Amino acid sequence: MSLHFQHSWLLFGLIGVALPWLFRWLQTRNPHYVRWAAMQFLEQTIIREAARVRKQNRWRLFIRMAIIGFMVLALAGPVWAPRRLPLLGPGEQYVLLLFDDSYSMRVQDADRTQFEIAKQQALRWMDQQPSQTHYGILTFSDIMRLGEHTASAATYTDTKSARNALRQLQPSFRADTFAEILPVLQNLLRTRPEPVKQVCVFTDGQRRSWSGAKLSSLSQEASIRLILPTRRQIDNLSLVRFESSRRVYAVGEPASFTCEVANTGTMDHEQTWLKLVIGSGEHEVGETVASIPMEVPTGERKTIHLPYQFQQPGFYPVTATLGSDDLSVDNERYTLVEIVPYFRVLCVGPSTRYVALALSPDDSSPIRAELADDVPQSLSNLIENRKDSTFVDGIRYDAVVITRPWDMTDARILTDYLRGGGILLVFLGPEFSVPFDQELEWIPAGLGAPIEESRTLNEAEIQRSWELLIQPDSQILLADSQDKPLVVRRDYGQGSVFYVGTSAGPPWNHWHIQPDFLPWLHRTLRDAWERNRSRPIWEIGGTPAVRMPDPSTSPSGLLEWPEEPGIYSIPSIGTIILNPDAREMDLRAFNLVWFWQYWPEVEAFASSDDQLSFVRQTYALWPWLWVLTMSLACYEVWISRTGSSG
Amino acid sequence: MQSAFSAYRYVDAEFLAQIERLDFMPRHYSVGWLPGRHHSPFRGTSVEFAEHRGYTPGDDIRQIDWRVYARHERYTIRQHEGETRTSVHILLDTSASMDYGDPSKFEFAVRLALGFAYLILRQQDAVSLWHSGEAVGLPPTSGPAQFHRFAKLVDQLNPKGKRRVSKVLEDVVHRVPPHGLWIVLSDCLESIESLEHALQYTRYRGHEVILWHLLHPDEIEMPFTGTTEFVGYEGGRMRFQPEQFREAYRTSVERFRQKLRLTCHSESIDYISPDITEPVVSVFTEYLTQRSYHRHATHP
Repeated sequence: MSLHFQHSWLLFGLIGVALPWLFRWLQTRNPHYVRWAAMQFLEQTIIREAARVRKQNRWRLFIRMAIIGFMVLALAGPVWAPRRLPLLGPGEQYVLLLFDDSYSMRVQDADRTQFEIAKQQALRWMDQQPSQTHYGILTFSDIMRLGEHTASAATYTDTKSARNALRQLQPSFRADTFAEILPVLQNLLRTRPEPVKQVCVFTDGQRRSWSGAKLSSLSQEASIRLILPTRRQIDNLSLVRFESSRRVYAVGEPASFTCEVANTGTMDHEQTWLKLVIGSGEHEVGETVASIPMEVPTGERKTIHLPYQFQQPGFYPVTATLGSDDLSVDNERYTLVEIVPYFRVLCVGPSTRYVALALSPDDSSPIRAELADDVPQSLSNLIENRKDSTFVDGIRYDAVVITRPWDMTDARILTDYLRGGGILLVFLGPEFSVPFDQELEWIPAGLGAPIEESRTLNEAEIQRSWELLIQPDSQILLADSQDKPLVVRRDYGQGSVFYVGTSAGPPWNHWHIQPDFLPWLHRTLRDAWERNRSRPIWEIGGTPAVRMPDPSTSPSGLLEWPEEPGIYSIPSIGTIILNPDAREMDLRAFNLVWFWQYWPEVEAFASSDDQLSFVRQTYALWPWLWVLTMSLACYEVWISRTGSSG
Repeated sequence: MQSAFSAYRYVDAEFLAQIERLDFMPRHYSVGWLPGRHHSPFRGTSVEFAEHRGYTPGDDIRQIDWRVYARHERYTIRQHEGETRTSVHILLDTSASMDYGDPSKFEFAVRLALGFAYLILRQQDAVSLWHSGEAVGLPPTSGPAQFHRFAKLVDQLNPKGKRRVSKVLEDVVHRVPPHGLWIVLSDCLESIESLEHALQYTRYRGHEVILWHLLHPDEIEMPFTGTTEFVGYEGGRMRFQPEQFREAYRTSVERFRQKLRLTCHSESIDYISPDITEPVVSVFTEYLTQRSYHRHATHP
């Protein structure tokens, strides 16, 4: 029974119900005695009025007892907190049963998933509804099926067919959100003719899209009820972050993977193992290369770094796996690394020999630099036979270092190279001339028109002319002490162009022997490779994770879940934002990657300090009891004044 | 006189002194053989001229009006109004129910009866006393000694028994000469039908009737509260809460009084229902004053 009393000890006052009867009994036991003459009038009156007075006495006794009883009950403060929804009034109503079928609804409680429990709750709740109830049944993932065609949402005009449909309802466990299906709901509710409409959402609240504004907009169309499937006691370790320090490694280069494990459940988890699995190819399980024991108390996180060295070039799916718990969907995370034999750089022109030496000082370096003195001829010969400009002579050049584009043919080859994802470093040296730079689409900084064509420029002239003509989408990476730009980057196609406003060596300067030259050159190229090769992964954003509620151990306030199943309302509907830090994922972009089937369709659920407080929906009965008591009291006064008149 | 009445329980010399100047005259003609103060339907020897009629042999020639003869040479008899004594019968209810109140209804009735007897005897009329008790009544007689007999008999009476005054009235009224005057002092706590019958029969016998309906204010209003057990003077008991029946009781009493009042009005019976908590002398004086006023109004 869901009836509670705010002051239950006052219920002892119900003994007072017997007081009117007791007073009446005592009163009749000790009468006044009067010697009376006019007995004939009394006899006539009693004979005529006795039945009425007796009935009236019993009625007034009952009323007085009821007044005391209701008053005691009202003082005790009864509150009705139904576990099921109260019966609505007669008349037609439309009830839309909306099921959250996201991944978190897979959590099992007593061998049943949250979704199945929610279905059972819905079936029980339907038993409480009046016969003139029409039902609609939807899941969050129905947005994929319905789209904007809300009319195709089935409506069940009798309970039996609705129950059958509900039993056959299957979850998709997709990542669709309440926000996505909200327009569908609004359109559907607007078209319903029933005077009373309500939406019953069966959810565990594991959605980042429960914003107050959305709920408020839906409440314009119908009353909303959030029904929690079950009690929460979750044993859940979540692999909330898994990433590699780099996306591209050379063979033999040490790789590092960072794992962050959080206990997002409500109970401590026993010792479990974190495994690192390296896949050897598409659709294969892979090999466990590391297994580390770990314990994470409730509400805490641990970060672990796992090293590994790849010996063969190729693409490797890397998996981090935790032991099983209540929610298995967040126990695995995947990433993809590319292993290359080495990074190959083509250095064109005599001035680039310093760059080549810096990139590959010996044979063990992951970068192999090749010098080509007769570059214009060799570049044309090597590239023009291949349509795919990112590969030269069957071997990919990861970067090309030049001092100038020599002619239109070179420029066209380099344009294709950049579109295909190449990295181009242009060191402007003494041999730099201005042949046709205005016609190059990818040039990050043009030279001014006053400069005469085919004339060799000095350093001062170059910097003076280009500092005023940097393209809007270019980025200044390095500047000198006078804020004159030295290195400018521009992305073009899938590749990038770096313009360095000075020569790589003498006679203009001695930067190549400066201590910062070598680290700068390496970092620039590695970052460029990382960025270009891992572009799809880069666009997805952070590592997805599932955050489970933690009502007891989180002082910072996660979700304040109720202790028991029931009907709850959200008191401040306009201010609730769950997980404001969560970012939208573009899974479609990631699906382009060839191992898309490894990626779980989970909801990004970053941590949040905001609280969602569920207030159990209650009905205060004591005001009505006071009204009833006062009404009976007034009635009693009225009877006492007029009752003797018969 | 005070010393003469001091032996009687109910006789109040002061009360008698206050009422001795009042007149109590019957509304109708009195029929009697002895001369008195009251109008008779017959011609008599009073000084008040009534009419002339022709002489018929056998008439007393002393009654011939010789002045008329001198004028008209015709013998004419001069007749005068007849005046006679009247007999007043006082019927006193001595049933147990008359004992209610302080002073009781019986005491109030006795003082009224004594007042009436005193006045009647002072007018040389005859008075009798009838009651509903066991003792024998007092036959109608005039003279001062009758008052002593009246007072002595009243002293012997006590309110007890269940005998109804209507029964007594029906038994006695045919034993006295007609055209008398009955003063009934009772609380009339009996069947309204028998009471009406007795009064109508009395009127049928040519008597004038004055009904004093003596009810205590408590018996009209029933002002008790709380659970009360009523024990009847003449038997029976009831326990209830008076406030629950008060209105119905008042309605019942008022209906009875109204019916009795209408019966008396239709039979030309004086119906008086005084407040017995007031002094007897004021009730008595007020009644006689009003009666005298109405008599002069109807007989100027």
